Amino acid sequence: MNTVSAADARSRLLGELAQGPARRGYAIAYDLLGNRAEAEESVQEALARACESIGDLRDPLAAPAWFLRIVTTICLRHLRRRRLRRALFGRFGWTPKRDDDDSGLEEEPPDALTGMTQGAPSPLPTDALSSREELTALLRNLDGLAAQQRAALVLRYGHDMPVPEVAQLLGVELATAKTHLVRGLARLRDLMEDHR
Amino acid sequence: MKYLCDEIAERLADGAPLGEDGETHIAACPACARLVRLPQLVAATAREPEPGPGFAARMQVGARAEITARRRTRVASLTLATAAAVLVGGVFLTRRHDKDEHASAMSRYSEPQPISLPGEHRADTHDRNRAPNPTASITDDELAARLARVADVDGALQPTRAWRRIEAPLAPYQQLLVHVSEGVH
Repeated sequence: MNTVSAADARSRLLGELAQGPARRGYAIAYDLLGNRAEAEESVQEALARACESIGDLRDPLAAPAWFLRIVTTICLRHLRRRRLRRALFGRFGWTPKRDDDDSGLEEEPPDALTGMTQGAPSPLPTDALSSREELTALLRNLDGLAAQQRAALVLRYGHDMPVPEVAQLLGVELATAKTHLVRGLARLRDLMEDHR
Repeated sequence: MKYLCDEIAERLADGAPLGEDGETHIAACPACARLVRLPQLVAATAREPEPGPGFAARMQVGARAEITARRRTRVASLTLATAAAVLVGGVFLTRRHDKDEHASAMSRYSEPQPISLPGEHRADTHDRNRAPNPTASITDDELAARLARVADVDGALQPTRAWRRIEAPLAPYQQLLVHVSEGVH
């Protein structure tokens, strides 16, 4: 009886999460990993983990935030592995696969950037979008940041999340999240300076 | 100056307004001016990717497959761990059993036996009758075979074998030889 109800609960949770939160999780994963296939895999793994550890969830209303935290954790793990691989094999010319690379970022920026630079509706000021090269360099330099710094920046500025939510998704204290943000900004500025 | 740079970075992190003093500082500090541009640039790189048709269904199917795969992996890991534990336990028990057998075989020979030379008559004859000498009714070949077994020649040939472990079982025979040579001379 309990087994059946647990299976039902899992199935229901899976259905609920796959509708709304999974899309948001996919957007976060895509921005963090820069790769559609890896983003989808991360979301699927997060859904599987969420279903397996549904017993840990005390408040069912917190399920979406809990799920996003799982997605973020999985993405952080991917980023750390990627950094490790780059450290190990970088000298042999290995670079992480990005969808941006498929679209030929050197010549043509991703669709989103193209749209913005052509004056498509955007909440962002146009002066920030003036230089495609700068954006391209930024995308590449984001790879040079530590996983948590990168995640903090992307969540805070890319997804416009308040710092407490960023801290919650990263699973760190508020002060630690702020430190990641401040250090990430400083490091990114240095990397951009080196790029010039 | 440094204090204001840090302050500006913190305000950027919090999303708080930079204030008049901050704006003044940014106008004079190129590093802070570059820093202030970064949040907007990071925001510009964020995309809202269209996940494609059937995303929810695809995710559900993928998640179910992932759950099955994880369960299989868990079962396989558990089976392997159990097998490894059984193997280690078996090896441990077998070795211990071998050691016990070796020890019981040794116990017959490890205690120094009274030496009797031809023509010698000892006072403790009745004790020896009570506990008969195990070597009394066996031939020299059998004795040599037992000696070779107790000496554990195969074990002694191992290069890593400790000398102390090679020598220990042979101690009674060494003692015997000493007695015999003393008796001869």
